[in-house]
Amino acid sequence: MKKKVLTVDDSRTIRNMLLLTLNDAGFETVQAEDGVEGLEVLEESNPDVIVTDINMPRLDGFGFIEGVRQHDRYRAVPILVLTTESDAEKKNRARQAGATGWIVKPFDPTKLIAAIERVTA
Amino acid sequence: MDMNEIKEIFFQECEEQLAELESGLLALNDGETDPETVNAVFRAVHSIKGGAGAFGLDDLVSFAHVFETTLDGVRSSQLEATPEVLKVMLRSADVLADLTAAAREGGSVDADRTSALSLELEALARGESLTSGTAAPDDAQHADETVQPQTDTPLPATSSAETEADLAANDAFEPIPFSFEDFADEETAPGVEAPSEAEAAAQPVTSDAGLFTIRFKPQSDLYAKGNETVLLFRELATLGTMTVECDASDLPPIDQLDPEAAYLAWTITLQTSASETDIRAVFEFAEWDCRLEITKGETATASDTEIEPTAETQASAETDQPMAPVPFDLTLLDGDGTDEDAAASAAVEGAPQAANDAPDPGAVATAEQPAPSLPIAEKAIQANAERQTAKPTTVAAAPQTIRVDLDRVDRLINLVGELVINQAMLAQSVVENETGGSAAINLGLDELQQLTREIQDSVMAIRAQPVKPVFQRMSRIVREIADMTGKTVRLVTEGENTEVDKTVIDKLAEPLTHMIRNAVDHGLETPEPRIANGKNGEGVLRLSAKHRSGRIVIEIADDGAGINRERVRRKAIENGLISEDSTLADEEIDNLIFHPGFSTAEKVSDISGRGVGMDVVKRSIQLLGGRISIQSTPGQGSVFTMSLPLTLAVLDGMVVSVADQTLVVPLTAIIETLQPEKSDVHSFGSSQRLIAIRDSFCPLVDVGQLLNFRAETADPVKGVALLVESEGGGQRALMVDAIQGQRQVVIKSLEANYSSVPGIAAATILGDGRVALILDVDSVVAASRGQSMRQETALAAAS
Amino acid sequence: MTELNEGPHILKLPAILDLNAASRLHEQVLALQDKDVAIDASEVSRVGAQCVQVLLSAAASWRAADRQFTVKHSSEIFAKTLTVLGVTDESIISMEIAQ
Repeated sequence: MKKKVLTVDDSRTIRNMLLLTLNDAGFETVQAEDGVEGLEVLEESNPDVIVTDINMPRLDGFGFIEGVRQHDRYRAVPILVLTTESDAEKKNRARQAGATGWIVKPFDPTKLIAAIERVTA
Repeated sequence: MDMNEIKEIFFQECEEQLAELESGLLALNDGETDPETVNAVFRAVHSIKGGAGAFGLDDLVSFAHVFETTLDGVRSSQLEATPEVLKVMLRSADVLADLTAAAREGGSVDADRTSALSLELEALARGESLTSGTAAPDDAQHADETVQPQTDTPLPATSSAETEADLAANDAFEPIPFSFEDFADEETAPGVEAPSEAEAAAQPVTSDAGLFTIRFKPQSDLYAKGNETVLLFRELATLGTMTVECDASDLPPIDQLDPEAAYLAWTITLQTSASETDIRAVFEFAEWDCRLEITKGETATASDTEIEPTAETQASAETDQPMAPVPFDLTLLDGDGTDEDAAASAAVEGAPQAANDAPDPGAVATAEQPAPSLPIAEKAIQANAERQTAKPTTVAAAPQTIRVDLDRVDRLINLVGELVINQAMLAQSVVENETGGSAAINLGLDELQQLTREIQDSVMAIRAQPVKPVFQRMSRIVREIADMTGKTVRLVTEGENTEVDKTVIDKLAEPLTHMIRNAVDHGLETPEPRIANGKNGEGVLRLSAKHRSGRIVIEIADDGAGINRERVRRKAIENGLISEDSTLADEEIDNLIFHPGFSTAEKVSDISGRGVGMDVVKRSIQLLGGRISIQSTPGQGSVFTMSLPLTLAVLDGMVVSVADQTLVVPLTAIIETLQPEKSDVHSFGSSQRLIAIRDSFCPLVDVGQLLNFRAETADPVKGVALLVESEGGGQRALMVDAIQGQRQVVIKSLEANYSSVPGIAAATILGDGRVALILDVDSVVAASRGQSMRQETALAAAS
Repeated sequence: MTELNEGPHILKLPAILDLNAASRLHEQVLALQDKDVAIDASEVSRVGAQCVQVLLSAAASWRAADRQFTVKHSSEIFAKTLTVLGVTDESIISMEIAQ
C-alpha cells in the first residue's frame, strides 16, 4: 500500500521537485499551494504524512500546522517542515505550532525520503 | 518531468517573483503599509533562494540570502522601510534579476556591484540590530556559514559530511546527516557508493566505543506533534544491537490515566559502530519534547527502577536539569554524567534479573528490524539514482494553467486567419452563384461566420497579455538612469492590466525604453533647478495604458521643463532641417524631435543612446501600425502619446469604395456614417470644406484626392461621409464613394510583403480574393491638417 | 463483586492504535473495570506508545484488583511493537501469544 504524502508549498519549482522525488520513491503525492488549500486538501486526501513550507501567502506554514493539530481526525499526522534557513527561531516556532520534524531546503531527495520514513509507520 | 524541466519552471517562477518583488517594493515606496506587501516581497526573495539552492546556483543563493535577511528585518519591524532603505532594496532587486538572468542564460554580472550591494544590505540589517539588541549579527554570521553546505546538497553525502557533522554536533541547528544513510551505505553495497576509506577511518572502531546507554523519557508534546517512540526505537534498532527496558513506574492506575499524556520512560543499551551524533540524529525531531541522555559505555541498570524506586527518583532528578530544550553539550555529558551514572549503576547493581532478561527480546528486535528497513534504504537509493531518469506516476495535483509553446498559438492564429478569409470567400461565392435564395444555406453561413468569429476571439484571447511586465521593466530603467543623471524620479504607472496581443507586447518594450530614457534624460530636470522653479525636487514620470477606440494608448508624461522650443528650432536650423525664416507652430516645432537625426542633447549621452533618437522610436511604432505624438507645455512637462493596435492579426472594418479602389476603414475609428446634403457642405479658404453635423462643423477630407487615387475633387453629395475620430482627438468627415459593408479582415502587413505606404496601415484579402488596403485613419487625418504626406501613395493605388 | 461464571470479556482492538485511538481505548477499558479482560489484538496493524500505556496501566490496575487482563490474540506487528518498546516482562502484561 502506497503511503500518501501531502505537500504544501507556494513555489511551483519546489512542488515539482517534491512531486518528482516522491513519485520516484513510490509515494502517492497530493499537493496544495498554501495553507488554506492545504487544509482543504487534507480533508479529501487523508495523508499519512505532510510536508509543508513556512512562507506562504494566505495561510503560512505555522498557521497550517496549528490547523492540522486542531483537527479531530488528522491531528496526529506527522508534519515535516521545509525550511531554507537553519534559523533556530523559525524552527522553534514551527515546533511550537506542532511540527514533527523538518527538512532543510534545498532538500536532498535521499534525506527527504529518509525523513518521511522516519516519521511514518 | 525531469530536473531540466523543473529548472525551466524555476526560471519562469523567478520572473514572476521578481515582478512581485519589484511591484511590492514600489508599493512600499509609495507609502503602502500593509504587512502582507512586506510578506509578499520577502516570500519572493525567499522563494528564489529556495529554488536556486536546489540547482546549486550559488551566486544567486548568496545574494538572495543577504537580501532576505535584510527584508526579514523589515518584516519583523526591526528595520524601518525608509526611502533610503527601499532605494537599496530596489537596486538589490535589479541585481537579483541580473543574477537570475545570468544563471539562466550564462554570462556574467557586475560582481563589484553585487558585492557592494551585499555589503549595503548587510549594513542595513546590522545597523538596526545595534539599537535593537542582540540577535541579528549572530544570525547573519551563522547564516553565512550555512549557505555553503546548503548549496551542494543534491549530491550524495560526501565523506566529509560525516566529520563536519561531528564537528557541528554542538550546534543543533546544523543539518545533521541522517544516520539512515550511513546504515544504507554499510548494509547494502550493490548500486550504492561504498563508504569511502576516509569515512571508515573517520570512525575509530574501538571495542568500547560502540556501547551506548540511552535514557529517554518523552513528554506528551512529543506525541502531540506526531512523533512516536515506536518509530524512534525502530530506527535506533537499525544502528546496531539493542536492548530496551521500559520503566512504567510513573504510570498511574487506569482511572487516573490521561490517555494522551506520556508516562513511560526507557533505557536502551545499544551496541553499534555508529557515532553518538548518529544516535542523536535519530532523536533529532524528538529532542525538544523529551528527556534524552546518551552516555558512552555500559552505565545501564539505573533503569531498574521498579525494584529500586529511590534510585529512580535520584536518577530522574539528576536528569531533569541537563535535559532542557537546549542543544546538547557532549563534553558536559561525558564529564559530568558518566561518573554519577556509574555511581547510580553501582547502587543498583544487585538487581540483575530484569537486565539479564532483556537482551533476548532485544536481539530478536534487531534481527527482525533490518527487514522493514531494507526497502526503505532501497527506496532512498532508488530516489537518488533515478532522479535523472524520471518516470512520473500518479499526479494528483490539478494544474490551473497550462503552458503552451507560443509557436503553437501563433500557428493556430494564422490558421484561424485563413479560416476567416475562407469563410468570407465561401459567403461571397454563395451570393454570386445565386443560391442566395436558400434559407438553409444562408442560415448555415451565418452560423459559420459566427462560429469563426468566436473561434478567432477565443484564439486571440489566448495570446492577449497585460502590459504589466513591460511596465515593470521600465521602473528599473527609470532607476538606473535617475542614478546616472543624479535626478530623483518617481515612476507612477496606471492601467498595467490593460491587455494587448503578445505580438504587440513583445515589440512594445524597445520603443518604450527609449521614450522612458528620453523622458528622464531630457525631459526631467535635476532637483536643484526644479526646486528653484518651485517644483518638488522629485520628478514624476507617469506611464499609463488604456484601451481607446479598439487600440491601446500608452502615455508617457513627465513634469519636467517641457520642450525648449527655441533650442529645438535653433538646432533644426543648424542641421538644415528647416530654413532660418520658416515660421512653425509650437506643435510643429515639438514634432521636429521625431525627425531623423535630430538630437537636442548638447552632447550625445550614453543614456539615450547614440544614434537612437526619437525618429527611430517613431519608425518602430509606425511599423507596428501605431502612431506617436507629443504635447508639451513649457515649464510643466511633456506628454508622449502612442497608440497601437490591440493585435496585429485582425481588424473589424468597413469596406468602402473610393475611385474604383476598395479600402477598409477600421470600424473602431468610425463614429457614424452620413449622407451629406448639399446644404450641409460649406467651403472655406481655397480648398477646405466643412460639413455641418447637427450643431457643429467638421472638416471634410476627400480620401480619393488625398491618396492620389484621383486628381479632381469629389462631390460630397454623391458619396458617403464617415465621421471619424483620430488619436489626437480631432474629428473629420472622410468622404468615400460608397459603403460595401462591414467585415472582419485579416491583417496582412504591407511592410512585410511590400513596403510602408503613407495613409495606409496594412492590406487584407477580401472574400472575392481581391486585395484591399486598410486606411490609416490617423495619418489621413493628420495629412488633412496640412502635415505632409509623401507622394508615394500613387504607388499603392497602382498595386 | 460476584465471580464471573463466563469467560473473560474479549476486547477487540482496532487496526490503528495511534494517538487518536488512545482516548477511545481508555474509555473502553474503563467500562470493563469489573470484568476479566482478554485482548484480541489480531487485527492491529499499527500501535503507538500511548495506546501501549493504556494497556499497561490497565494491566497493572487489573492485577491490583486481582483480575485477569491478558492478551489472547496478537498480530505480528502488535507483538513486535511491544518488544521494541521493551514491554516483555510477564509481570507487566501477561501475554499468550499464539505464534
